Amino acid sequence: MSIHTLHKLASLMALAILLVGCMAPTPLPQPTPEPLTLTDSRGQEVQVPREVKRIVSLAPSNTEILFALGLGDRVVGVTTLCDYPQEAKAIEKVGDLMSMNVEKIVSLSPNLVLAIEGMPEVVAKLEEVSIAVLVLQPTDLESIYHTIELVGQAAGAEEAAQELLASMREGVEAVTAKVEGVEKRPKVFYELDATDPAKPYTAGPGTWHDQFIRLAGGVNIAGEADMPWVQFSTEEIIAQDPAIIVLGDANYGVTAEDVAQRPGWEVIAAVRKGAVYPIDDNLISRPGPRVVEGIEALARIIHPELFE
Amino acid sequence: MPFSGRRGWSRVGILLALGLGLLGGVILATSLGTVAIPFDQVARMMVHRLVGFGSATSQSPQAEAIIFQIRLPRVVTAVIVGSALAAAGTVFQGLLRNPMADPYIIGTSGGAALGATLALILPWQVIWFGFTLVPILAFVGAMGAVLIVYRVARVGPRTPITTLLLAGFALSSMMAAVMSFLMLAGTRTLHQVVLWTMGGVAASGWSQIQVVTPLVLVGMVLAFLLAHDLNAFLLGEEQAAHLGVDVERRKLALLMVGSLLTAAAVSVSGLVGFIGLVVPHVARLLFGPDHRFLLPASALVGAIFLVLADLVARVLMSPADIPVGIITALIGAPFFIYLLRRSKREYVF
Repeated sequence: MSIHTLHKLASLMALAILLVGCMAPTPLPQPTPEPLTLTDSRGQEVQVPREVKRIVSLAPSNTEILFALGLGDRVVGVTTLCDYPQEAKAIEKVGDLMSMNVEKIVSLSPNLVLAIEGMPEVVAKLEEVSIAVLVLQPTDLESIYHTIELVGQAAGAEEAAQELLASMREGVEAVTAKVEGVEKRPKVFYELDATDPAKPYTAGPGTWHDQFIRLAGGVNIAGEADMPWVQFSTEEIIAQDPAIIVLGDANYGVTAEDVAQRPGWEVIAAVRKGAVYPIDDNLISRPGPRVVEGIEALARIIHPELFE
Repeated sequence: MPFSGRRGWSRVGILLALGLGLLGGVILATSLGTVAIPFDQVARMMVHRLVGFGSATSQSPQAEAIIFQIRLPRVVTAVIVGSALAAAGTVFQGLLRNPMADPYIIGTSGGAALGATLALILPWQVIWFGFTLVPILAFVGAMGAVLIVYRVARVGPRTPITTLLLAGFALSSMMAAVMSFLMLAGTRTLHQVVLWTMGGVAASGWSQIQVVTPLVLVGMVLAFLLAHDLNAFLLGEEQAAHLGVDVERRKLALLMVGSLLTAAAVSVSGLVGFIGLVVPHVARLLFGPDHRFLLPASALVGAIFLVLADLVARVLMSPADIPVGIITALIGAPFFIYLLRRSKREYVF
């Protein structure tokens, strides 16, 4: 009897192998015009079709870049986090902070998907069905410019990209020109997330936040930290004694009053002098066209005297 | 435990019914998803792919891609992972004679999670047979952990179950601590690590399936060949020895087979919980303790269960995808309690 069962089992397995073998992938038909080869933030060469008509964006920053380049009408899918510009909210949603729905993305038949780091499985799946995916992960202002240029090239909007870059550079220069030659560069703590108020997250070296604080005439107290995204304990913040605290988590409802309530924080210079300011972190943390506004907002907080 | 021809036939009948149930589950799960594709279209595409019969009728290459590159690999992965974890759970429960044993009990989960975390933190981009570093290091971590536990638990020529369990627990705790530390250091990958430990079958594709399927099949066949020894182990190691079982060698073989099944499953799915613990019990309640029958039945039930759980996970809050581990526990636990209470006899493990 056990031999009988064994036979059955073996034939079941053979069937399973057969099924797996038969259903091996067949590539989808390729579009005819010669594709464009672009290198994305992964350093990977991506074949982007010549006529990019339907674009899916998997991050708010990517959505903002697309709209700023006048490509908003080609965006057919965004994430639930994509809330700027207003028009983006009306577009079909393909995912949220936790996960992207690959099936949904494919059903929108995009010929270009703009992803970010941290979703390698999604990218691999999309590439498996021959959809061009550019992963955009800038680390500083120059690379933000570069990603905008890249999106411009990919979608045939080079001119719009150059115009946008020129105005962005102008905006940043206006700030840096003002800040140049300031005598005091105050110490700044940029709070990203204080879910644990005793150990808030901040941005350290190798982040564009760090660079923006410098451009805006401040010194990031986490600028010498070991890691780019890092938790700072109350003790450490007190020891560094920042003159200014910027609440990047103001969008999540954290206020200067909350900060003053935190045990031990009352001794920090910024708290004593009431120099705890909210900021719209979307202007800073989304590496897109609006970072210029973010840099200016930072400069206004750090050096209000320059903007009187 | 020889059984009559009649009983044997009913067993074959049950396995056949389970197999048909699994086939139905696979078809159902492939037909349903975020994007509505009419069932007749799905059926036509499937028949066309399988036997080359009928027209391709792919007015929509998107539908083709969704069915064959996204849904079907996901469903097939659920079959492989569900059956592997259930079979591994059956092996570990039988071998360790412990109703709380699951495929992760002697360190496979800790080792796999540590390996995956390392892979997510390391900056290298490796692609090997369609695998990134995460599944490779998860597999290596799982097998490595079991080997270490086995080595540590060895007392002279023997490896007592108690030391095995305790060494597994100790090593798991240690690896969990190292993992937490690494997660702290690699803040940017924290989110990915957390998602990985929740488990899921969404990320797997055909290339992964082609590598993992043979591993799981080999594990299944070996487990089935060792089913007789598992039955002997149920009587206790001493009794098994009296029955002529080479206890220590068979123990090692069973440990390795169970770990191979677990490591293969975990490498494509992360840590899907609950299945490996409860499905073997469900199968035992329904079909009795004879491992020659229990093993294949448990594997089939595990496959059906994970296919359906994953279907619920992706359809319930569509387009959002709920981690499948939440669904397996949420649906599985009440069902298990119901079975426990319904069974007229006392459940003898």
